[in-house]
Amino acid sequence: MGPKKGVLVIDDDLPTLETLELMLQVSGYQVWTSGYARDAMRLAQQHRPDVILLDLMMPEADGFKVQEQLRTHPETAGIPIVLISAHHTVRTAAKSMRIAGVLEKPFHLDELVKCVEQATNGASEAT
Amino acid sequence: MAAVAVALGPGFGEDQEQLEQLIHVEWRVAWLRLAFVVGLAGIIFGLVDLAHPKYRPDLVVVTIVAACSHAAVQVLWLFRGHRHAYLRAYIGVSFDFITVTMAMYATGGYQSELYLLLYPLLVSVAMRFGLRAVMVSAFLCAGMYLGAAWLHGDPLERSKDVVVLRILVMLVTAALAGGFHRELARRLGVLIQTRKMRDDFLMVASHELKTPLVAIRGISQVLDRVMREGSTERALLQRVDASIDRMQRLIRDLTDAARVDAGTLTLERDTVDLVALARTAVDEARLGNPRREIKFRSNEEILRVDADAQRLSQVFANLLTNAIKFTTPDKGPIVLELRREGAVALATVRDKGLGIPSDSLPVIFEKHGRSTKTPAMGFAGLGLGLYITRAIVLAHGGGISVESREGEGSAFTVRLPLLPEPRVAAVPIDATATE
Repeated sequence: MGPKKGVLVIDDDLPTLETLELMLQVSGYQVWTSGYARDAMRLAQQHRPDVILLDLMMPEADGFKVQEQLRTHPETAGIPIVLISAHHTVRTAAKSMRIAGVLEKPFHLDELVKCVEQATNGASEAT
Repeated sequence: MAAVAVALGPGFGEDQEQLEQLIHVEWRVAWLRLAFVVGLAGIIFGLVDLAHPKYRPDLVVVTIVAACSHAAVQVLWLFRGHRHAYLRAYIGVSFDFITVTMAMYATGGYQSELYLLLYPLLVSVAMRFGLRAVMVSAFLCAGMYLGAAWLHGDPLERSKDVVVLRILVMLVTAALAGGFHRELARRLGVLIQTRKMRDDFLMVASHELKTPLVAIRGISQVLDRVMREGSTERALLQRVDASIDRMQRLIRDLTDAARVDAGTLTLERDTVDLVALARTAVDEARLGNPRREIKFRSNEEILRVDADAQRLSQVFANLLTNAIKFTTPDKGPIVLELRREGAVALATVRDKGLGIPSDSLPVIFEKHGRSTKTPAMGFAGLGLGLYITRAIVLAHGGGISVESREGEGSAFTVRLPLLPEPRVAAVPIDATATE
């Protein structure tokens, strides 16, 4: 199966963040987390994750803004991004923004894994 | 000698709710601009009219309340005693009557383009009969018929006073129009603000309510993964999961109902196969209710509709859940049946359950409008399911109806417009046409 895939999770809600970490670890991923949108760029550059999970609603900057920032840097531009949101209507906006997937809260473990796998596979097909 | 009247339509002065219903959010700013431009055009039209060398103005005037007051004007003309003027005025006023009536009906929706087309056409025809008509169209604001002002010229008289009066009237009407414009802009500003606050609240409420569920569900599933198969703890966890599902549905129904109220229920449309979608809905209902007999029937292999798959699944889930809830297991199967009727797909969920008393039938699609017997029987739920179901179906351009007899069961039928069949192309043109 090769080396563990790495996932970076950015969510301002601590219980959600910890749960996501737990869910992903149980499913065999290496996980980095932060509760602050401003850490996204630094952590992405440092760890080069295979996929980034971004909460859409965060106090400092929303998920769309963070993904824009990530896209501007060549090192992080290619990393697939999955948005976590409480609204399924985000999908329309996501379609036009090269978002690899949208996870609607609250989600099942299987959904989470499927979404992460699809995002990483989609990226490897594209490159 | 000359009379001036300004007619106010029914639109102005209504309360905020009615304004809100009448005004389409995305278009309101555009309509305001358009109305302003049309108003200016109306005034310029009038000035050009005055400058015309053959123009012989005498002012009489028009309308009291919207189009119906035209009848009064016709009588007024009749008593003036100019036979030719009467005839001409009668024809002219009739044209105006048609114009304004059509404008009113046309703008009942948001289709003032029709009015814009009709107005110059009909007025120019009216002018051919020697009449000059000016309508200050700024009264048509934000897609609503607010009222109008007319000026009619009598070709038999010439009077400086009348020219002056006429200019005066135009100024007054322009000022009035400006007043309407400002008032409407103010009201719309308030509306936009109110709506934005409500939308923001909805977003935040739904986010805040769903967020704690992420941790509960996530942890319960992680625990489920590490626990022994068949253990008591694992069985208990499944109950936690089922409760989260229920909580999630309640939150969804609450936020959906608020969206329906606010008119912000949006669809993520795509081409959807109704047969596959309904079959999945039945499979899921079977999974959730393993002891119930739920049948799926379809005469068609595929029924393509332009729809939001997630929302349509919600429709079928709601109807199936209701059928299961109000049917005891011994009363035979619940059936979801699909068929085609011309360009429409019909989906019927039928049960032989309790049925709905005839006095409750009219209200079941309303908010909290359950059957009169329901509360006493202690069925859970917020009473929002059918309200949301109906809103979703309507948003898709479809319809929903129910047939039910107390004690014999119910049949809910959803009608959805089908997408045109992708024909096998005999000629290349066909292929592009169906793309």
